[in-house]
Amino acid sequence: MLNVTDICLQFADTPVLKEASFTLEHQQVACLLGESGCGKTTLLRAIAGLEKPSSGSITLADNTLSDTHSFLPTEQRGIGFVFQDYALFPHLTVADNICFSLRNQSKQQRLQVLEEMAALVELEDQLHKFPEQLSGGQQQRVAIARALANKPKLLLLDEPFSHLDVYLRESLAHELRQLIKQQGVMALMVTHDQQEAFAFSDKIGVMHQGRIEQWGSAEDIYQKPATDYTAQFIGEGGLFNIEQLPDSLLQTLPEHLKQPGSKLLLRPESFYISDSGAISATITQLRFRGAYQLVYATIAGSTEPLTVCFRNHGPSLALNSCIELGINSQSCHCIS
Amino acid sequence: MKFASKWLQGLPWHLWPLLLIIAILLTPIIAVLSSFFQGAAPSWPHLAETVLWQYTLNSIYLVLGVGFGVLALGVSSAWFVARFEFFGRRQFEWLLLLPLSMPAYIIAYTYTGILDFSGPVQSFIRQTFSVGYGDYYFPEIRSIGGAIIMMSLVLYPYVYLLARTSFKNQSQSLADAGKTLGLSPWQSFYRIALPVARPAIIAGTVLALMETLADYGTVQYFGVNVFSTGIFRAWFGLDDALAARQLASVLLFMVFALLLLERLAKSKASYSVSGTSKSSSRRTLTPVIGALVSLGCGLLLFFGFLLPFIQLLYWALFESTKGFDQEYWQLLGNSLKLAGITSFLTVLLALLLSYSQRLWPSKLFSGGVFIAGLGYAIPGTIIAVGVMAPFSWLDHAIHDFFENYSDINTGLLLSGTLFILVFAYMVRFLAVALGNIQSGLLNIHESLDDAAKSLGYSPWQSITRIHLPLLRPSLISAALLVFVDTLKELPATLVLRPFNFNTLAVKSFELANDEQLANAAPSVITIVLIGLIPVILLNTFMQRRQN
Repeated sequence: MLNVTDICLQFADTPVLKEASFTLEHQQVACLLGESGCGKTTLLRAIAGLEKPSSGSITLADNTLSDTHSFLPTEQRGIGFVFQDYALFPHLTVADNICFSLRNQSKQQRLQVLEEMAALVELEDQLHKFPEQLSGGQQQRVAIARALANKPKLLLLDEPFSHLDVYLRESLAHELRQLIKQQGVMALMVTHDQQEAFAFSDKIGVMHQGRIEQWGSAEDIYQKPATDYTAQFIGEGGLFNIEQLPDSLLQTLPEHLKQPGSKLLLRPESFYISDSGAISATITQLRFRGAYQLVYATIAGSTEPLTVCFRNHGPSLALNSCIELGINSQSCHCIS
Repeated sequence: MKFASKWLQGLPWHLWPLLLIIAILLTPIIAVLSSFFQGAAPSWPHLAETVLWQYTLNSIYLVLGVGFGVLALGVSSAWFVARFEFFGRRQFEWLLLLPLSMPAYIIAYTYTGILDFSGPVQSFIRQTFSVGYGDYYFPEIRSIGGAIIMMSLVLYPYVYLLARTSFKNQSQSLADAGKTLGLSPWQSFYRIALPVARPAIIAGTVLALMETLADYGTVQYFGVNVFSTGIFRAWFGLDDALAARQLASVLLFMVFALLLLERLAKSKASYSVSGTSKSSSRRTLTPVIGALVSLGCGLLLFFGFLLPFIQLLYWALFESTKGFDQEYWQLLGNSLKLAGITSFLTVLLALLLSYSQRLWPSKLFSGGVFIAGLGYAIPGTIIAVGVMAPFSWLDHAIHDFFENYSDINTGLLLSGTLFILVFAYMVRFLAVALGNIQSGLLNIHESLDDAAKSLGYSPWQSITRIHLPLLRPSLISAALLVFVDTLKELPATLVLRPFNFNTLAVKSFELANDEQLANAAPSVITIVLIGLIPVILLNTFMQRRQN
């Protein structure tokens, strides 16, 4: 179990981490998700011991890695780290890179681990090559094998897919998840890509301005975001003040979503087209998404007009035409 | 033949004259190498019996000693400057380059003056302890050990510079990865930083060793018998030009072996670092270790530059009986004129060659340009020997031709003229200019040419409006480097200069050999001061690239 409690860290008086906390359970696989500059990589490096927190504590399986009094150097933590640029040693072959942390073991043991790791990442026929002779994807797999070779309790990954083609990322993230689960190791990955995070993790920590805004499953942070930031950062849709909503919309909502002073999150799936719908709207924007049309429509009312979006899986709609909308109150979420 | 004609067919006609020029530039090397097939020279048996082994062994000692010296000094100083924070680090970063401005023969004169029997150090010892000549032990500076120390002190910056860049550019994540895989800081140095920097370190060492083999001034002054002094002795002492060329070709093979080593090191891995990663950050040293490192860097700077520089300044200002007299200004004029002409012509030729290479890519031509660029590796002594033979043949041919067909006695037209000297310089220093200009041209991406075309510029207009402004820094640095190298050059100038034509380098060599060190000082210090220009240039260039 990895426990991160109230970690603070400054770079030259600029606070980068502000009391960041979370707990990663045994064999769980998680992501730190956030925009660039939110402190997610710094938090990862602090867990590895590559940055020194100014306060807070980090414990791994009941061993204190870092607190106010002590700081265990990186080389004694036994944590695997996959770097954004992979950081493969250019002067060593793939085999030597993978076996780098095994220098105190016998040759036989090393060969055994090498064989196991090479099979795991499917690089058996590349072992004699140098890193620069490999493709980006292969380099990444060497980096993962190298980090796993010494059987760490925890594997940290810093944007491991950022150097790979976009269309590969989601499936690679899923494959990586399987591989890590197979090894039974805890893993924490840093990414700014939601799809990657969804495909990879049991738990997702949404980070913003040095804090963990929410720590939860992918479903939780999508359907029940805890804060305004999470609601707007994850997925599509809009966040509106209850007082701002037009009457037609307000009337269709159940009572528990209408608490005064709270905000309502309306996802695209919150709306559907219905002839008997009570909400009339005008289409202002259409975006073709292949399987469906993403439709932006304006609902007129007593207050200023409100623009919402929804998915249209039926026949194409026309711009500026009027439609009737129904509402799925299960997929609306209230943030108080 | 068929093979060759196939190659030549594709070659545009514009390139023919340039290929001819390259061929002419190669004649000295061919002249030296061809001596191998001309049978044993008259004095060869004598040489083989007496000094050949000594030349070989001494050259090997010198190379090994200087190699060890520059590695120890260069790698350690580069490691601390690149990766740690200590008192004076920012200043040492460029100050440690200063010894590069001191030619080895000049530092040799200075230390001889300081450490000789009549110099201040030994006089001080005799006075303080009231001992006389022979009563005490003092190491002899004029020895092979002394030569190794002198050359290491001024040549280590080659290793320092390349190693520093490599240590600095190594991605921080490499060191971090080492940590996460369980390496202590010291293990991280010799298992990651050092091996990754190895190609750069070898390249720097090879450069220093080429200079070592090319050196004539130091070894001659210290009386150490190596190939470069042997070539001179065979030629002028034994009057055996063939033996001189044969000795030169042995030396040439040693140089080629070094070049091969460098190529090997480079081809094996020029470990490129991806552009996105952060370069290594600096760690702060403990106060005691930090002070020791500052002291070490200070000592290196003191012995490599400050001490000899102050001594030279003292001699020039207070002890020289001649000072900056009329003869000095004449020497300066000669040196500047020679260096100016050489640098202009060399840069022009290099510009022509590298532009042609860009406009009409051809394997044959590029190969030719590459070979022409090897001249820098070839010691001045060898080039001097190699230039003499073909030119004296040409001179005699011209003379005979006119004597046979007319009454005109042309004499020897070219031998002993500035023309030959400038030609020799061009053979030697073309590589310097080529390197600068080629890398400058590489940075002008072809998309710029295309953009200019799309905006309605003719190729000529885009040369003046785009290429020249972008290329100006490379042109200036090429011209400056050739200028300073020419000014410092000793052996080829010594042999090929016109009768009674002296330069700063030649005159200081002659005065030093006549034991008039103080009188040599004004010339010597001028060479050092001008030599500082490219060092400063190099430094500002490196700094700008970091920003």
